Amino acid sequence: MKLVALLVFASLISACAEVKPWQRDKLAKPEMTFNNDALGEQLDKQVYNSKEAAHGGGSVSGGGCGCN
Amino acid sequence: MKKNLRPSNLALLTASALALPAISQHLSAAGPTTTSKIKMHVGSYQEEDIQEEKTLSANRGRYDVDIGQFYLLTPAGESGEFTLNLAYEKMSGASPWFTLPGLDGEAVQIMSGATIADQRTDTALSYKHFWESFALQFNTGLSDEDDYRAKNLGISLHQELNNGLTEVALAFAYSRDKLRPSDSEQFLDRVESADKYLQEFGATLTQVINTSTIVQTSLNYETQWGFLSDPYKVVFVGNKILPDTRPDTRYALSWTTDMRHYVDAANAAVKVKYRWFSDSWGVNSHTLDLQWHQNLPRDWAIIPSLRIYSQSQANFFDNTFTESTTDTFHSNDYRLSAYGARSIGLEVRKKLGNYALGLSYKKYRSAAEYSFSESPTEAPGLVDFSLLTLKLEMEFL
Amino acid sequence: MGSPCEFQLYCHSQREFDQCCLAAENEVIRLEKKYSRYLNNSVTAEINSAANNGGSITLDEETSAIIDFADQCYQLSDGLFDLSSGYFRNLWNFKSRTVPSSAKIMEALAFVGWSKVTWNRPTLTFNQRGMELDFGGCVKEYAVDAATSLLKTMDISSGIIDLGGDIAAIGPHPDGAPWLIGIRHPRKKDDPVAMIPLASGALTSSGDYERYFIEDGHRYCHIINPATGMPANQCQSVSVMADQAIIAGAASTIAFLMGPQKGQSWLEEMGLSYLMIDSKGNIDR
Repeated sequence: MKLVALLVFASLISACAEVKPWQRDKLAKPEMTFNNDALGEQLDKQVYNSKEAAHGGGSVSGGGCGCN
Repeated sequence: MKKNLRPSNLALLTASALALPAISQHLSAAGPTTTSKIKMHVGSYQEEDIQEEKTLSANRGRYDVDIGQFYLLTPAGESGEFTLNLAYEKMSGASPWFTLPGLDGEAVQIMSGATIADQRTDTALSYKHFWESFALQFNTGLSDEDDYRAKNLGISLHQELNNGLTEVALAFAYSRDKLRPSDSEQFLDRVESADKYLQEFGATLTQVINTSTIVQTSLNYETQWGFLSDPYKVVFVGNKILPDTRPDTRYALSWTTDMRHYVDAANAAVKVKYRWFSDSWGVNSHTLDLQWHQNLPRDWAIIPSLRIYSQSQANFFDNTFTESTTDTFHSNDYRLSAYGARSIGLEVRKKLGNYALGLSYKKYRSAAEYSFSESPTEAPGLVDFSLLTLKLEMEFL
Repeated sequence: MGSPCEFQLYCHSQREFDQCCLAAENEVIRLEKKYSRYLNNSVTAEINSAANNGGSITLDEETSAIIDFADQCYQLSDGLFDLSSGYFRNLWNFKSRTVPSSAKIMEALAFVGWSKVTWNRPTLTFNQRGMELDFGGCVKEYAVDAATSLLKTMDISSGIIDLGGDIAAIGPHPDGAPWLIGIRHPRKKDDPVAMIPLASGALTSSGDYERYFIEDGHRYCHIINPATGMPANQCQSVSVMADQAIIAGAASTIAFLMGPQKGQSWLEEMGLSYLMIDSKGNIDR
């Protein structure tokens, strides 16, 4: 699983195209940005972290909850 | 059609001029936000009653939480932006206390007797300062509930490369939590107060792949130390009742990759996110998040999503422990068992000028059989839940 | 572009200057080709093919944003800023110098009017056959803004761009002094009527001296009122200053069409600085 993900990732990076600034319109769409639903993801994070052993990944922002 | 001309007409025109791609490119290079945003979400989280065969407790109800969230993003001077995050949760219900061997050999979960009612408020502030291609962000936060208080601090550095096509970021966060479990006088072995510390390092790479695709990958290393056990849970070791006891250190490494791709033909954006996690307690997990953001006419959007999660069991987990166990650590907390979870979600959004409304529903199911582990020990306390959220968002100059 | 274009930039080296000019030039050429009235494979040609047949066309992100802007201008100008006035190209021919008859004008008006077009982003539908869109009123100014924006991302902070009279300052001279732009006198080519300091933002002009012919003592210029089909003749020139050239360009055209009184009050309500020379040669700013 890890190897597959690594291969996919490596092939994506190597396929990078030259993107001119005026071609970034699609990437600027809200649904294409990583912080679009920050609030929703924050709640999801809280909900999942309080019942799953795995946590974190993505932005490092600290924050605690009573979820020992 | 005569329109009443006001100075804000220039603002309208400016907004549509700035929406032109070749003009806004200058803004799309990293810079502080130019508009202010406010978001308010209210949510209702409800856990499914524990199944009859999984418990001996008469009351099978579990946790319900009402949630309110507030978010504000605003420019701060020419080169900065300020974010405020507030969350309020009102929690009530019963939660798992301990497990016992059941009559037919299958373990059963005993729930906490009294209904726990608690509130939690969470405040987080952050400030991000931008230079030409470099940015620095400071975060601080406080989470407060009756029996728990957590404070955190964080800093992150962001550097743009390749004309803004690449960004590398380094982040560090530190958190200190103080536990003061309630009713510690009533339960002799319940700790009165304890501290827990967390330190996290993260490195993130964001790369534009082509005009429709962008990828973000990060590696996070986290260390926890202090009191890491659950003060409310007890474990039967043979005939003895012992408190839930976990190691006082925990090291975890996670690798997350998030990809967004715009599908021109469908006018939709697809999100694929995968996280690999492994820690020193023996837990390995995989998480896959999929989302399809479908744009519809008249500013509507429909967003179905799917999440698949699997974790392996912690070294010191079991439903029941025999007397002969000489291990120091033991826990029957279902959250450390081998299991998997599937959740499906659907959100509907509508944009009305500077406002946006959203309604989102998510249903989560967990089971030992969903885990990728071979022959997992099913913890009877595994939980299913549903989450309904109503969102109101606005953007203004 | 059919008119002289000039970049004046302050750069750290000749190499940087060459790179910047090349990049800016390429961007201007890109837009010129994309929206060219004359090339068969331009977006304008594709749109007008659909316009001619009374059909629909799905537009790309950039063109959609231009249509959004033009639509916004149409709303704010009571219909005076209208992309569909491209049709008048068939009616008013500045080479043959003939004034069309009122009958011909009435006929032409049937094919003009943004209200005959349905815009449901990203689809443009023409409810009337035989229409024609012309992006001349915004693409040149958009190119100025695009080049300005591009040069800013290339770290240029002092410079000025002039595309045939549509001007934008990237930033003042390194010592802080603004660029001085001469506003052309409508009747005396080499005698500027005013020198306007420009440190940042854009300055564009609409005038009756750019393309015109005189017949019977009357001057007929290229800026046509979409409601009447006749060239506007109440102003000699209007110059407007705004943060973006595309806004200044649309505003100067709109004010020109509105005439001295209505135009000036419209510009004042918009909060834009201007210099207007009416048909008698009186100057207002």
